This record gives sequence, structure tokens and C-alpha cells, in this order.
Amino acid sequence: MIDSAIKGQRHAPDTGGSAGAVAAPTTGPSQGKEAMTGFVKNLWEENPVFRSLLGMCPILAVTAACKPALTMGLAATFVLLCSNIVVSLIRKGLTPHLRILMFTLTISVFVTIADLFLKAYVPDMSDVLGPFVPLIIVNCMIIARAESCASKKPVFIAVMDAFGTGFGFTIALLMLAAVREILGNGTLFDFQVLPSWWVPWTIMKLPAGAFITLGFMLGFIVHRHAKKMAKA
Amino acid sequence: MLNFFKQSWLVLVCAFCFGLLLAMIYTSWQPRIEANQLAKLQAGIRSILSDAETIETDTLSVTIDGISEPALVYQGKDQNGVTIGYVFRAAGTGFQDKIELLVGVDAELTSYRGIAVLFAAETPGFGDAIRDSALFKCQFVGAPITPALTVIKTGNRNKTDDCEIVSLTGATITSDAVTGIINQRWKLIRPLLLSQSGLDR
Amino acid sequence: MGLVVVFLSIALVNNLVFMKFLGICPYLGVSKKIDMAFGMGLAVTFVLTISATLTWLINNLLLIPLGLDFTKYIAFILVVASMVQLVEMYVKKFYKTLYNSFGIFLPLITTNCAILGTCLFIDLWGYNFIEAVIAGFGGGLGFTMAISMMAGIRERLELADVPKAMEGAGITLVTAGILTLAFMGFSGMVK
Repeated sequence: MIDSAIKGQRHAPDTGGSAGAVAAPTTGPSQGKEAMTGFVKNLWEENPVFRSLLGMCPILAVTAACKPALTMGLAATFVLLCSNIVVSLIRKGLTPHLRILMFTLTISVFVTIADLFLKAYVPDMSDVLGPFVPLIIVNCMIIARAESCASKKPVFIAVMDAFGTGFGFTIALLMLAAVREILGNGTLFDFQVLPSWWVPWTIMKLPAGAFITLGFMLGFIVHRHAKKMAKA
Repeated sequence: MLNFFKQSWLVLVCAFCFGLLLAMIYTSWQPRIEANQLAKLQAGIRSILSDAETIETDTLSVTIDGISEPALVYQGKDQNGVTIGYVFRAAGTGFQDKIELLVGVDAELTSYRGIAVLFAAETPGFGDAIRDSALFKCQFVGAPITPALTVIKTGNRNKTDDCEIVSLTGATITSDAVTGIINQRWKLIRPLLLSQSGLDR
Repeated sequence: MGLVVVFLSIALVNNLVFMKFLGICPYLGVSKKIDMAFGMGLAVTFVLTISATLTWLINNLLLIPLGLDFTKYIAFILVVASMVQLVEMYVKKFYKTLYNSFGIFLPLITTNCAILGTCLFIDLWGYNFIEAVIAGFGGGLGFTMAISMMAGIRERLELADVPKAMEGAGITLVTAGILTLAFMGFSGMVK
């Protein structure tokens, strides 16, 4: 049931991002190579946000400034890593019916741990991120990775895939946050980068600015990708 | 029955292990989390009652629409144990989200000692300035408690001994909300503080 | 009066899509035709109302009294997931035509951030039981309105001269941004 849901959610109308190539199970040095390809691919070429349009919800909410964006990215990477490891370890015992339940359970446990960690050690970030940390649970990106990669591959590949996707996600978040923070606040990571005569574009701090910025960024990236495809 | 276990043994085992893991992590981190929340509250109280040596917490009970609920009031005392002021929480709806404040009154219950913002998610650059704008918050220091606070659009912000609060530019609704929240809560807290402190007014 | 305020607050002032950024994934994918979008919106309303009720009950009657507050997220998502599955099985069995018209929307809803997000916001805002039910229902209706508006605009955009790179997700997001600006006009309505 949720297979179609995940596939349906991942279907981007025009970007046509596809899941990373699933090679036959390998061992030894070729496993390492596959892991590295997986890692690098997920960083940019198959970037979860820009190419596959996954994990959109938290992006728009937390990218008003770079610090919360970085925190969210790292939290999501942590959850992705842990859930990929666990799912990869138990992949032999997964029955078809209970698969999605297991993924959801695993992800929600690690999200709770991440949330508790933020509340205990970084309380001001926890306040800013608010209810969007638990929303990592329904971040389509994590379930999609568990479904397409971790449940089929050995642990090492799953780990590298998690790092690649997680860092790709963080990079996307930071790119958007940088634009929004510089234009909306004149700062970058709370350092003043624009001179004091700059009147900040308040719209960038608001939801509207988030949507519009992301829309143009996506357009730019699709344009670059199309040009690359045309050259090849 | 056996089929049930054959299908779901993994879920049950994992649920058990996860439960154990979560419980362990929660018990070890919970004291830190509570300490953080307390620190935030303390910082807010100290920003209002800056000369208090000790802060005591009293739990009073307010009745709203026939339902009574607990209301925490923080009493600030100086080094001789003399009460210098009270701080209570007030909350309500702002322009975009809820606003939670700490409001301070002096020991004789004649004037406000100031406000601190615990939670506000107003428009950045406009309503959100209630957090940091010293100009706005200073107006509450020394404002008499009667009559109720009112918001005016233009005026002298430095005149702090009257009931008129000059609103923030471009954030009238937020300013209205803040004063409304203070007035409403004070109406409920005032009789409790009067009877508690034994001041007959 | 208070309930009307709760309803308007979540349907308009704090609209799930435009002001709280929830439910964007299916929003981008599904909002191409008005009838599909409307169907999705109604399904979400249905699921959200029931989820809000159930999660409120479990949170306030079970988790908080037992001090198991930290298992809140797990409990919420499991409730939503199981409930969607149960509802789907039930509707498939007894209301075949309704199931066919709901189509693939029902399973898509579990990973819809709007459901979990609204349940969490209800918990954050500390609503009582009736307010939680109204908020669930109102949130769903607000979502339906947002998604139907988007679909209507997108249908027109198909015929417009959009730059190639911006087609699809790009222009949808920009349109959503402009709609958000419009929705900001509702702010301050709730006093």
C-alpha cells in the first residue's frame, strides 16, 4: 500500500529524478566502490531535495537562517544514518506486510532521540526548530532511502548512502538558508555580511519568501541540468 | 497464534529494544532538559526583578469560566528576605501565534516592574521586536497598575510613569495583544496576590 | 465563539500549507487537476479529524498521566499509520465506490506531514478535546481550500508561457509563495 504512496510522492512532474541505480549485490572492493558511488551521487546529482523533491516540508520552515538549517540537516542525517543501519541489519527478517511499520517505528525512535538531544544540549535551536524536528519522521526522504536502499543492501553501503543523502539534504538546506538569511537579515550564521545601509528584505524571513526562493532555485537547477543533458 | 508470532516476532523484539533504549536515554537526559527550561524561566524573571537575591515559587489557583487552574507566581526577595516584587505568567494570542510573557509587579502592588517575553513568533522585524526592543519594554517599567494599560499610536516613549503604551511601528496588533494579555491576566492575579500578601486595598 | 475562533485560526490564519508549510509533498504532486486536488483534500480532512481526535485522547488520557510523554511522536505516527490502514481496509470492503473515488490518496496520506504536524501543533497549543476535533476538521478544510486553489491556478498555468526551466515545481512554488502573501492578510483576525 505505501509502496505506491512512496513512489507516488517521489514522482516529480518534470524533473524525473529516479532512485539510484540498484546494482547486483557485491562484496569486497566492489562493495566499497558501490558505496562511494552511492555517497557521491546522493550529494548532488541525485540530491534528495533538488532532484527528487523529497523532504520539502521542513525545508521551507527552518531555512530562515543558516544555524537552524544546519541543525535540522545534521539531525536528519543522524536519523537517516541510524535508521539505515538498523534497517540494513534487520533486512533479512522483514516480512512484506510489516515492512513499513518497522521503518516507521525505527525512524520515530531515532527522531525522538534526536529531539531529546537537542532539548538537552542545544535548547535555543530546539526552540527555533520547534515542532519540525518530529516532522523528520514523515520526511519522505528517509522512508524512501530505507525502502530503496537500506532494506536491500549490506550495512556499509547503507551507511554511505545515508551520509550522501543526509549531506545532500544539508547542502540544499544551507543553500536556501544562505540566500534567505543574507537577503532577509544581512547576516550569515549571525555574522553581519552586508553593510548597515542594507534594508533587509523582510519577505525573505516569511513563508512567502521561502516558497519563491526555492521555486527560482529549482528552476535554475533544472535549467543547468537540462543544459548538461543537451551537451551529453 | 503461532503464525502471529512468526510474522511479527521482529516487530515485538524491536519494539522492546527500542523502548529500553528510549527509556534509558530519557532518564539520563531529562534532568538536563528540565534544567534548561528552568534556566530560561529564571533568566526571564531576573531580567524583571534584577535586584532579587532569591526567588520563591508560589502556586495559586485562578478560576476561568468556572474551571480553576494553577497559576504560578514568583516572589522575589532581597538578601534580608523582604519581598521586592512578584512575577507572574501571562499568555494569549498575538498577531500570528501565541505570546507568552512574564509580567512583574512591585511589592506594594502599585506599579509594574516590567515584562519579559517567553515565547513569541510574530512578524520578523515588526512584531518580533517585542522580544528585544528596550524602547518598547521600558514603557512597562513603572507604569501604574490602575487604570488598565492602553495602547496609543504616537507619543513619548520615554514617559514611563503613565498607563499609555506607545505601540511598535508597524506592529499595532502585536502591541495591542501584549497589553491586552497583561491587563486580562492582572485582573485575575490581583485579588490572589492581595489576599496572599495581606495588603488591604 | 471560542470554537469559531479555533476553526478560523487553523483554516485561514494559520493555514496548514501557506503559513505552517505542512503537506507540501503531495501538494506539489497532486494539485494538477482540480477534482484530484479536491478529492485529496477531502480525504485529508477525513483522516485529520479522526487523527486529531485519537491522538488527543491517547496523549492526554494515556501518555501524560503515565509520564510517557517522550513516546509521544512514536505513538502519534503509529496511530496515524494504523488508522489510515484500518480506514482503507474498511472503506475498501464496505464502500467500494467511495474507495475507488478516493483512489490512491488514502495511502499517500500517512506520510503527509500535515497530519502529524497538525496533531503536534494541537498538542503545542494546548487545546481541549472539542477544540482539537474542530482544529482537525478546520485544518483539513483549510488544506482542501489551499490545494484546490493551487490546482485551479495550475490548470491555467498549463496554457501560459512559462520558461522551460521553471515548468512544474518551480512555478508552482512561486505561485504558492504569492498565495502565501495573500493569506497573510488573514493575520491578526484572531484576537
